[in-house]
Amino acid sequence: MRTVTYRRVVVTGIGAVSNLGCSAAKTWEAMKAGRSGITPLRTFPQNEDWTVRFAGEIHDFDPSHVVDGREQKRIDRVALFAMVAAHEAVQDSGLDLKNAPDPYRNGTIIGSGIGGVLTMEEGHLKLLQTGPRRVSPFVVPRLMVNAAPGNVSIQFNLRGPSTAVASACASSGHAMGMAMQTIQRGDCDVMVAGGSEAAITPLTLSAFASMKALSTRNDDPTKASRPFDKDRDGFVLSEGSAIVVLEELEHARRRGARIYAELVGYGATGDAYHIAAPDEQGSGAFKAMEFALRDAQLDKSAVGYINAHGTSTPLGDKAEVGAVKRLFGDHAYKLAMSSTKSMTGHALGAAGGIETIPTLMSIYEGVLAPTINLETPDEGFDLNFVPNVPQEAKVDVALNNTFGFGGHNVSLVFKRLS
Amino acid sequence: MSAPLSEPEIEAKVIEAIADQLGVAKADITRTSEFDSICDSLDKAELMMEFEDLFEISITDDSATKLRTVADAIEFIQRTLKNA
Repeated sequence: MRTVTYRRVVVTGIGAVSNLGCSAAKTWEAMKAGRSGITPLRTFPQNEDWTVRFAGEIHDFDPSHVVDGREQKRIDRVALFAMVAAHEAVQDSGLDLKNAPDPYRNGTIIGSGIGGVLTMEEGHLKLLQTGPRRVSPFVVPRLMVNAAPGNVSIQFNLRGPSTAVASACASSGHAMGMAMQTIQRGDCDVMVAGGSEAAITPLTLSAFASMKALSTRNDDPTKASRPFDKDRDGFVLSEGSAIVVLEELEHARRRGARIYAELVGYGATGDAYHIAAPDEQGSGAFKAMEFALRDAQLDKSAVGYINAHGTSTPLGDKAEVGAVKRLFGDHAYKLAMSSTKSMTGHALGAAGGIETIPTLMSIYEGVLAPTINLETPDEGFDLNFVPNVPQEAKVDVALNNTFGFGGHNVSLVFKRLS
Repeated sequence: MSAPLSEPEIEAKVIEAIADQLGVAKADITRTSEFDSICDSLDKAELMMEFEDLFEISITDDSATKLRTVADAIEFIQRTLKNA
């Protein structure tokens, strides 16, 4: 149990770009409706050699209200997603960060698993086709994994800490956890935090397919992401971004800000086991949740909802369900745990950010987003996974789990403000 | 062989390329526009590549450094094409 008293951190703004809609509100409404954002692939041509021909692409993304045409050419899709989500989140918070009296009190941490891989692929193709003197000078500022926080810091004049986190699919979790700590210890009052990913590219899709990590349900894409179902066969690659505005409690109260929930706990561990496979016992996940609750100074019995990592892979879901059952014991049967990846697919480094929305809304709105496509729960998967339709519940404490290749595990604890 | 491009033709192509690259109106770019004030060093580097492709010429880094205004670029391109 920690002995130092930290400053408290609350969420005062949310923004998202997802295949369910290009705002947090649209994303949340679609989740409550149990809608899938998965479609046959459109962004590049494929033939029968491709074992996976669908994904969770965003088809209606237009950043023009945030970034003008000239600037768009200089910025990769991954950072544009983050800038649009950040624009919404900051607007939602009501803060005027651009004209902040002390911009060094405001910072940003945004995670991405892969960064500007689309730019990397296009730049490499150009190099091979036309030689080194034709490689665009914008390749580096577009592809670097820190392009998202770099651009967001410019967007809002954030002069405090500005950095990226890369821990594969746990990136958003680390970003929000570290941003919380930055405010807790007094370095900043406001942090713009979350994750972004735009990695539905030929190289990435084929590489994940080679790993046999992806669902191959080509004949029925909307049914492909089916966490906890016995017929699940891998995850569905998707993309997007979600950003939250984290703010020191008194700073938020002084200006009468709307507060979604308090961010009270951050637990992070490493499996130290295998670079891509989860520890089958889920011991790293177990400890991440345990440490997050310890950080929050909360008992396990306080938890009402878990937004699972739940990617729809055979091993990953098993490890997570096992970890939850061992950690929570009897209480595992009283709480609810759903995977919204059943609708969005897996947006890798952005996943934890996007899933913060249903986690917050379980507390703020009292609605639990469903796990769609859950027709027959796998053997021993006997928890309340909020199958197929949303549920109403009064949740005071909710966990958001994110786990990544490399064995990175993060659990965040959100709590109703008391 | 086709006739060499006249100076007004080069000027029109150069201004169109700059406007397109920078996402601005052609009317905003004139012969006296200075690269340092209309774009940054990365834009300028990419513009030089665009001129190389457009006019099938080579612009060394040393030459590019000396091109301060749009007129400098037009004159450089015209000179290079004449000597080709």
